[in-house]
Amino acid sequence: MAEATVQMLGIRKQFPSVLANDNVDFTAYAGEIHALLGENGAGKSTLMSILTGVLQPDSGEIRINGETASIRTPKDALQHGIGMIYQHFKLVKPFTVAENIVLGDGNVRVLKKKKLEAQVKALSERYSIEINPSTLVWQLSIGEQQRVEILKVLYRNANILILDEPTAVLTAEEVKELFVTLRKMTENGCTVIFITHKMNEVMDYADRITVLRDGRLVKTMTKAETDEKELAKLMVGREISMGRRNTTDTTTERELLRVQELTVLNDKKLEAVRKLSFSLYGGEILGIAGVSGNGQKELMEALSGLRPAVSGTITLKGENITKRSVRQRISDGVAFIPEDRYGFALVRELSVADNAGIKAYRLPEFSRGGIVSYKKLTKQAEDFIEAFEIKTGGPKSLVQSMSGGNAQKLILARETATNPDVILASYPVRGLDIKATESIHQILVKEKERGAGVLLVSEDLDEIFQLCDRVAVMYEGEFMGIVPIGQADLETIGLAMSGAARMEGDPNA
Amino acid sequence: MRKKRYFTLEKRLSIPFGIKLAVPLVSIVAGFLFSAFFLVISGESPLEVYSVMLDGAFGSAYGLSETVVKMIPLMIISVGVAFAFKMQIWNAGGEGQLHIGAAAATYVVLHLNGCSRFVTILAAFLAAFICAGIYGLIPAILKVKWKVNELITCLMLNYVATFLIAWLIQGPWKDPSGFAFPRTRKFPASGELTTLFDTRIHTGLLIGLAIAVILWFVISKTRWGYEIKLIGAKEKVARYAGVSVNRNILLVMFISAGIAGVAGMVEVCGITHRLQANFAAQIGSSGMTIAYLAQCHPLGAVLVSFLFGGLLVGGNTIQKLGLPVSTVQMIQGSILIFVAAGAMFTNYKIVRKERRLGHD
Repeated sequence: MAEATVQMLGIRKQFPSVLANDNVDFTAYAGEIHALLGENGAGKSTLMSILTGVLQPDSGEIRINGETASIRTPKDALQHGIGMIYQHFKLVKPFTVAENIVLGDGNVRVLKKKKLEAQVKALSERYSIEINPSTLVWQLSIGEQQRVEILKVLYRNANILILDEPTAVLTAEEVKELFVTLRKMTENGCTVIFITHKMNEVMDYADRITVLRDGRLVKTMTKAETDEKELAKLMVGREISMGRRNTTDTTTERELLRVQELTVLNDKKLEAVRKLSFSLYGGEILGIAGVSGNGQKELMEALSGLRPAVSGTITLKGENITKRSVRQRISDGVAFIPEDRYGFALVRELSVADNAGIKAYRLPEFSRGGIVSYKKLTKQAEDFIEAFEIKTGGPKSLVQSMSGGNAQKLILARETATNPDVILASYPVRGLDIKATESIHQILVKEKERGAGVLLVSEDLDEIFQLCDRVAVMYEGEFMGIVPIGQADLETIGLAMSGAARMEGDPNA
Repeated sequence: MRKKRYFTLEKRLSIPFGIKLAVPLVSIVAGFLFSAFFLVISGESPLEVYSVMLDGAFGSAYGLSETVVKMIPLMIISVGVAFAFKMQIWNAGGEGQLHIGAAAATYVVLHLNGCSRFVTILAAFLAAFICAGIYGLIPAILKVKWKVNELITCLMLNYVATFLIAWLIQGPWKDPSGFAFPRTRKFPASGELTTLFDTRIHTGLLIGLAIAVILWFVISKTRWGYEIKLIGAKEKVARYAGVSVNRNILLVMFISAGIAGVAGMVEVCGITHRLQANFAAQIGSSGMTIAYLAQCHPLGAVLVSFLFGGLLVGGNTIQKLGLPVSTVQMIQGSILIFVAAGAMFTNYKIVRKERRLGHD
């Protein structure tokens, strides 16, 4: 076998709340495409940030080409030939391709445009990267911008290339081209490492695969030794740790929400939700599993009215609400627990009472003749604090002084106060400790027992199995099937999450 | 292991009322102390200068009345722009809106001959409010439709308005019997605001106080005020809660600009009794400073405007002492700088911390 270019031994990295890397060993060789596979939070990015000098490990050793290397900054990494391509490009848009490539290269004193462009041209031809060095970057497609990023590190003589989820922003055609380029580079003796959670890319393009889970190394293997099923199992891995918490079947015939052929764009104006159709019934929790970034955020925002639907319809209790405003949908009975707690749902700088009132203030109970009763809003906050056991200094204390769990309880108290019919909950327990998680789950189960339909987006399969009555898996804007929870198992969900196979099941069972 | 002590700023979790009051007062004193240094260098006695200043602004009935006269337009314009600031809409166009309001009022007053004072003033008020409000809608519409930064458009529109007025008073509206002075005809008596207590103080004071109280009520008591505060606190959360941000930008800018227009109206109807060059120098920019210092509180803006008026009148008095204008402006400027910079201590406190140094 070829020489090991990268050796990481016993890498450990502790963050304040999580152990991101726990004694991880990782080896990559010249001439290989090495996939680093794992769910979000498995520790892939941390490991690569350590290799590129962005983070310092607490302990462990890094050897590059057999020699111990001290990598304290990305510049050190580059001197060892390690270059990183980030998911979000760092390009200067009004500059040309060639200018971007030379930018930051301390050896260049005078910019000789012609010579530089010729250099870039030669480099791009060597790796069959199609690009015009004199084009301005803002005119390039996303795929082309990524090529500029790759050329940028190649120009600095990197021979170990790390790509952080490189295909997340690309079209299918661009993905193919990218891997042609990467293959060309390995043929030239480079080492290519790419971070991913997409099974098909791993099986199509990788030579070897390392699977991480919960900060630990699970297994490193060649592609020939494994198959999709094994990888899915390794990636999702653990046994269901706790029993089902949602034990009563309260699902009714009442169709609360019907989504038909819904298409929604993301901020980059690409289709994030594609012709999605499903129904949500009263008294059920419908789980949407899947790796985040597959359209969950856009789906929930479209249902809540924050993001317009490009096509398709949303029907709530038999009425078409596709064009209704956020305000109307709230009064129609749609509650929303967004994934970005402090970005969307709470204002840190305002008090608990103010935050509790941001939807209630316009209800007749709290305002008469256009005048808001702050007294009643404060009373409401007191009721929330008591009923949901929210730990806080009182209704007047600021939300920024609360813990994440208590802040989330406040959101749930507010959102469920008006007995909504549909509850949209995105990652409601993300970042919370066990106790807070438990109480949030209890609230959701209570709501479904009351008759509400709960749409629960989660990456955590434990949570899905504990809470949901039915489960759908979202992948690239589509559902890979919806099945009753009794018919789902880890393996099929794992395969569906990585887009390898659809879930089969009788949705009416 | 070595330890390193250092000071750092920490955001206050809650702001006690005493702090809200003490910080500006201490800042003013610090500003006076700072200026005292330069007064001593230039051979003046700071104590004498300050006592004359204070006496001139607040020490006599006349001084006090002049302070109030200066305060009136400042109060109205600052309350107006503070209303937009409250929603984090940076209406820096007060100056231009004030000029449009003054011009609209002038047009009405000069064309409503023979009407009663009440009707004339009411018409002038409405004309000033509506015309300036519409003028303020220009940056608001650009912001809502195309996300154009309102700060820039507002500042640019200030020039448009001031030069428009300059053209009017030197061209079509120029007083034919006014020699070479760039100004309109004098208003008829029905277009003049009634003066109070035999001083130059006019009923514009009551208009301004009424506006301040109404806006305070709107912001702190009403449903609409709740929405404005929510948008100001965090626009994304407001959208999430179902508040129409765009509608409120248009509405609040219209009212904010309209009030700035009323400041122009009371100045021409109450003091100059005609539209003339430089009738409102610096009022626009001072209005923004006052709104900032008052932390966008309408009643706070009334108080700060009063102090600002005193600073202007006191400055004029010490000029009579023989001090150069630049010294007067230096004192005014340093007080402003101290108050503005000191405002940080309302929201932050200094805390002492220790850091352990690891390896060395």
